[in-house]
Amino acid sequence: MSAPILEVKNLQKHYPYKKGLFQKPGLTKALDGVSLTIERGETVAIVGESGSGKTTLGKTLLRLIEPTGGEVHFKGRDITELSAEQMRKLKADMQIVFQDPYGSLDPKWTIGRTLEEPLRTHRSHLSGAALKQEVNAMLERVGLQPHHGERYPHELSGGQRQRIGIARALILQPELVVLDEPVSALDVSIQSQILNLMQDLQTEMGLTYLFISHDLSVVRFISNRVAVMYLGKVVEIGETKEVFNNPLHPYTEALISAIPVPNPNLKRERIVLAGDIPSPRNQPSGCAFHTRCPKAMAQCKTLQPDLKEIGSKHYAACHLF
Amino acid sequence: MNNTTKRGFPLVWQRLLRNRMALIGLLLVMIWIVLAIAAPFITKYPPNEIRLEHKLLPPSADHWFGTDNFGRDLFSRIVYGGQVTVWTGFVSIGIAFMIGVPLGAIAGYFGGVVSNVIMRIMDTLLAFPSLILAMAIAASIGPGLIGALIAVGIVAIPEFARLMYGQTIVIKEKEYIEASRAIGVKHLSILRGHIFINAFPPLLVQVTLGLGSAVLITSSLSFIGLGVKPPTAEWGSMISYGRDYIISGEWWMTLFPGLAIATTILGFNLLGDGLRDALDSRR
Repeated sequence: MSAPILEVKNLQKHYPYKKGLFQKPGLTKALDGVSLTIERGETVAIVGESGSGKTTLGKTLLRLIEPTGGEVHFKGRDITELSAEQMRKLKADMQIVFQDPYGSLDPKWTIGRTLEEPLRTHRSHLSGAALKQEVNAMLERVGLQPHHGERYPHELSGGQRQRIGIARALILQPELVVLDEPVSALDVSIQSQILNLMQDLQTEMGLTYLFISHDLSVVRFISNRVAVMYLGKVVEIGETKEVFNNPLHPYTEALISAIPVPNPNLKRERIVLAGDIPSPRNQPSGCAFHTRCPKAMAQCKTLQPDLKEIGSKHYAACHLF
Repeated sequence: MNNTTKRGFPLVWQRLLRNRMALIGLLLVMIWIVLAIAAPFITKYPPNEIRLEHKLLPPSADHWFGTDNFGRDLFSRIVYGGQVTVWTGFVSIGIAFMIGVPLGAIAGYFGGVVSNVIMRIMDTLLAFPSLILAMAIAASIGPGLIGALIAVGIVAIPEFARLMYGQTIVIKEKEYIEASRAIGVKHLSILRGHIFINAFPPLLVQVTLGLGSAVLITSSLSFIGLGVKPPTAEWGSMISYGRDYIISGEWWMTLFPGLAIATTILGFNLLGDGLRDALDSRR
């Protein structure tokens, strides 16, 4: 097996915040020791509730947010040690598609100009005609026509805009793409089009995806492996099929039991979690999930569980195992 | 409605022309600019020609606005004075724009110490009433057109810096800025390409309103003798000469330059308000 394209080791993002005038500042642990390996060509999904740190993880991997600890090895290089200029150049190889197709395009720029921006930044030698040619080719690749390049974002639909967002991320032919909830702002009918488009492009261009989502049915469809996050930590990770059929962590179990099923007569056990996700400002002691866990034991309150391999390539952080 | 097909400049233009007050403002401003440019062709008398035998003549067919205490034709002087006013207005606001906007953009974009240093200096400048500050600067440079230009320009810098600062803070949090950073676009390109372009509409309004106050401050400086040196015709200094003749009944010496100042400022303000409405993308 070849070397993994991305190796994340104990990644941390702690935000200090002021408690009071004379108190020591506290730490908001948005990411608290995340380790993750992504192989070339696969799609790894990150799932979790709002506030679990999944978007922070995606943005920290690209250093759009600077990590406060840990390492990120991209193609064998620790990118947390690169200078700003080295990192800027590396961004041609690692890209991101944003959640909001409305906010992520400059309203004053034509689509063509938006798509030219990555090329002008990283391939400044290209002439005007070559730029236009690349942009038109990319527009066609994401299912649009060259004339869309002359339009402004407000003249396009949400689905078309997200196609532009994808085109902008892929026009430099990156190797790793972080997809930050790329379809959650879209209608369900458009979602499947965009998902299929992303899958086709992955095969065509040999891309590796980190797919961030809270929608488990989408994750099941698109990903090879899935990592479940809770309060800035990965609590379970494994092959998608394995995690969905045989969830280990009680949190994963609860998430999966909440997926709607199309058959109303099918009886199944629904695990309802009490309360909301705790604030990352004052994390519960021991296992962060013990406040809501239906299977919590005495040691969960004091002892933090480590991620252990339980099945084949199936890891979970829980004292039950 | 054909609003859907029009965008950018044509749309703003169309909205502006539909606004009666803005149209009046545009007309007033245009009249003064055209008069200033056409000055040599529409005046009968040179503005500085002293003919004491014709002094203090009331308005007539020959001297539309009358003559002053040196027998100079007031119409000529007002039209030529408009040249000075228009010129100082545009140059000083141009200076303020070119210094204030980059300062505000840098302060807003980078934040931290840079922002504190720049914006506290701007706050200090804003703490003085603009006329007092302009007087102090003009007085320290010495009377003359250049001194007035610099004084008016410096006074207007913090207005532009603060506006741009606020705009930049809002715009830099937009996701399209993060998208550009994710691509690896350099800071300068982000500032120029995204932030400046998105901040431009309110800046344009500020330019128009700033031109109005620049006219007022320039005239005020000339009125107290800190602006343009005599005998150059300037509206503020003309009022200053006419001041002594109000009681003796030669009202035209103050009325016409006063009207010129008032209509110019009114024009710029109406145009600025109209532009603000026309550029409002929420409509």
